[in-house]
Amino acid sequence: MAASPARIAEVLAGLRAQTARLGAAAEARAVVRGVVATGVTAIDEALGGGLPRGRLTELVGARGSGRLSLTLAALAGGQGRGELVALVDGADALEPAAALDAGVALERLLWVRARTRDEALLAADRVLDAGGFALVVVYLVGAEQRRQRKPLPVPLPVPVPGSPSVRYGNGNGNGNGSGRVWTRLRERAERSRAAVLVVDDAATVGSFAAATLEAVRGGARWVGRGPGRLLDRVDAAVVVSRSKLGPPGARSVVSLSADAKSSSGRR
Amino acid sequence: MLPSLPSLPSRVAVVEVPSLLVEAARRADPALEGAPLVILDEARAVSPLVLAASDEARAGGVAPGMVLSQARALVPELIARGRSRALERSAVEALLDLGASFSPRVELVHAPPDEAMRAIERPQATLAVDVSDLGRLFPSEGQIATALHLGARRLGLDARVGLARDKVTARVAARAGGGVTVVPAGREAPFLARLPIALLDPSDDVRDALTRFGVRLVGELADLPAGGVALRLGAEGARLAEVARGEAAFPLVPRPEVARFEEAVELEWPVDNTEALGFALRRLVDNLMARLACRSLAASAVTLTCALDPAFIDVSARAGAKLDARTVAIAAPTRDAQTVWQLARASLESTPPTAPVTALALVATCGRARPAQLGLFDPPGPSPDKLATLIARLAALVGDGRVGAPELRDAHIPERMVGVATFSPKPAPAPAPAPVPDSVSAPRALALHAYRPPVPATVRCDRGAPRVVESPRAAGHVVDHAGPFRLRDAWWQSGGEVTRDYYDVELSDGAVYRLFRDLLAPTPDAWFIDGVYE
Repeated sequence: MAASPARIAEVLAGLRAQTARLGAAAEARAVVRGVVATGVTAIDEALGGGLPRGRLTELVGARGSGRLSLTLAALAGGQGRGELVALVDGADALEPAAALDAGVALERLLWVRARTRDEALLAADRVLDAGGFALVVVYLVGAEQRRQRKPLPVPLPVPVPGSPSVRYGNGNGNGNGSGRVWTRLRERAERSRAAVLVVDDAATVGSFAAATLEAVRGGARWVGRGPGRLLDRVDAAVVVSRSKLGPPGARSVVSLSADAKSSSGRR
Repeated sequence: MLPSLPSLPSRVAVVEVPSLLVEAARRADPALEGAPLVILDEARAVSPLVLAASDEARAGGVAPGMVLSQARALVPELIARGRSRALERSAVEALLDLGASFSPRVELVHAPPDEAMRAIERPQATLAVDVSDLGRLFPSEGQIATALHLGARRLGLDARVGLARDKVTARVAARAGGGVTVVPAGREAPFLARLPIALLDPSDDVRDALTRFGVRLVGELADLPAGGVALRLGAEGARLAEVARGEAAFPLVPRPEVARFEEAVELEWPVDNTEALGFALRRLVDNLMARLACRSLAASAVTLTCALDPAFIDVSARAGAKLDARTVAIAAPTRDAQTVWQLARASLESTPPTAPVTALALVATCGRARPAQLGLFDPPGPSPDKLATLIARLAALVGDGRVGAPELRDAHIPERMVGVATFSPKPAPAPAPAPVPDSVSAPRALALHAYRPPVPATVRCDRGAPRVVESPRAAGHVVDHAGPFRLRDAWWQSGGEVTRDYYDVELSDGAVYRLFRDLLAPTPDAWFIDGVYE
């Protein structure tokens, strides 16, 4: 019995839809092999499309230079394809409202509230070991150096000269980011095909990182006068200070709007 | 009318652990593997008797029934252990788990009794498993028997397996073969014919009578006339003759399902430090998780019970304090031994037992690992099993309530708005379109790096406005500021009210901080730095 034209059209439409889905899935898997876009165009371009999967990338900077805001933007970018992301928070510094405002889907973000730097590094190791995350952020800004039951082997990092804007070591003489730790994290990242972003006060990952980004603080802008005065925005710039993925030096200016998170905004 | 299903021929596998006492000790302490080992009856304080001996000890001439000094004279390097009923129970339970992982119809044919045992008693444990309908899972009966043999190995038990039409024939086959023996259907009588009569396990009287008749092989018994055997040897003789002819019908008596997963060990001496306890605990956890894996289950909690040394217990303590029991919750069901061990060890370290510990028991509360099917079109993500294990491992590391998805709670004060929800991501939504390249000036959301807890600060004010801030985390002159912005929360609750004045403050170090002044604090000018805009 011959099929009716309507039935044939219906089958064809179904086949087209299925082909489109397969194409999208193949595209998503191709993305998995590549990068995680941060959404900051200049940075993504300098890094070849975004944070490289299977590699470590480092983001450092002074206090108030917008590192957490950029981190949340990267996490939101990492979720863009529906994948899971993880934030290993060494200082327990995240405010869920800020993540929500940055566009992060909270239910697809694994948040680990570590109490010390060592805990954060161990937790990152475990998250990468489990696999399945597009982006794992190890946020070590302000993380405490508390003595652990089983301390990690932590020889002092070797300072690398030639980069005046980037300090090596974490500034208090206890270089926690030993080569062994970063080697292990890099191997885990390679195996799980996750992009790893290490956010810290100073560069400690060194040559184990595919690139080092430096956040540079701009100025704060205020609006209004007297009792109605409000924090409007904070400017920052991101500089690729060292990269194995392309020429360093790319710079991107980012304006961080305080419209919702600050106490001014909440009012 | 429905067609009647063809009845499957009965096939029974018997798993027998020849020396349960030895195997139970080795299961708890793998270092004993390959060593000459004897298990003693410690009921006799003087000259304890050997209840069971390992093959290595038997090779040196040691036999059950000897006193320890005799055995040591034969094998000087002999290792002696006291009989532990807790270990034996765990081993038998593990054997039952193995059977249950193949079939719901299992019968514990024989296990050593709990009460004091005579040295001449057989210390083996025997399990019968109905494997009649496993043809779809295994291509041959040999593979079923081999899988049972390997499964017992994984549980730390050295067993022999026989598979035949009924449990008695299968048991004889297991004993005759030593490793894995399969008796093909209909070939029971020829198989049994060449075996010695002792394998049928006759009583002493019947064995003596058969010896007098000159019957030494099972085949010779089968050839005798049934009526004459029954007349001269009674009911037992008739039963043995039926077995010998391959005509015996011994139905399996399935054991009711008992869902209790417990592993226990009696320590050789009281242990008073948590590190040594953790070491002893590790083996229990390994064995328990192997049993759960047998049943495709996972532990959602474990209860650890420590028996305390009565000599150290304060007599004024309440009655029943000889046991220290604690339940260790697991964030997500898992059978990852490392995770469970870490959680239990953390519990021991945080609250050590009040006296030296003489025995440990670990009971698992079971759950199923999250059943979920990964989508063909979904982006790759961790499997539910791996995710559950990961969360449990992370919780063991950083503490309960510190791992999950961030949750925004309905409150007014910032720290009360923070919560952690269970991390159970739903299937991914449709892929979003690729991010559109933005201009360099496109604003992004400014986030606050929160200080938890808020950092106390000294703030000097001028006409109500902050001018200088001093604290361990930040200090400097105020360049610009906004505020105050008053927040009140829980004013309807007695004792829970919070009233604060918040400020955004740019300091001379270039960063912008969020400060607040607690208006209800007992001390005036109670200032805190809440975080830095980062």
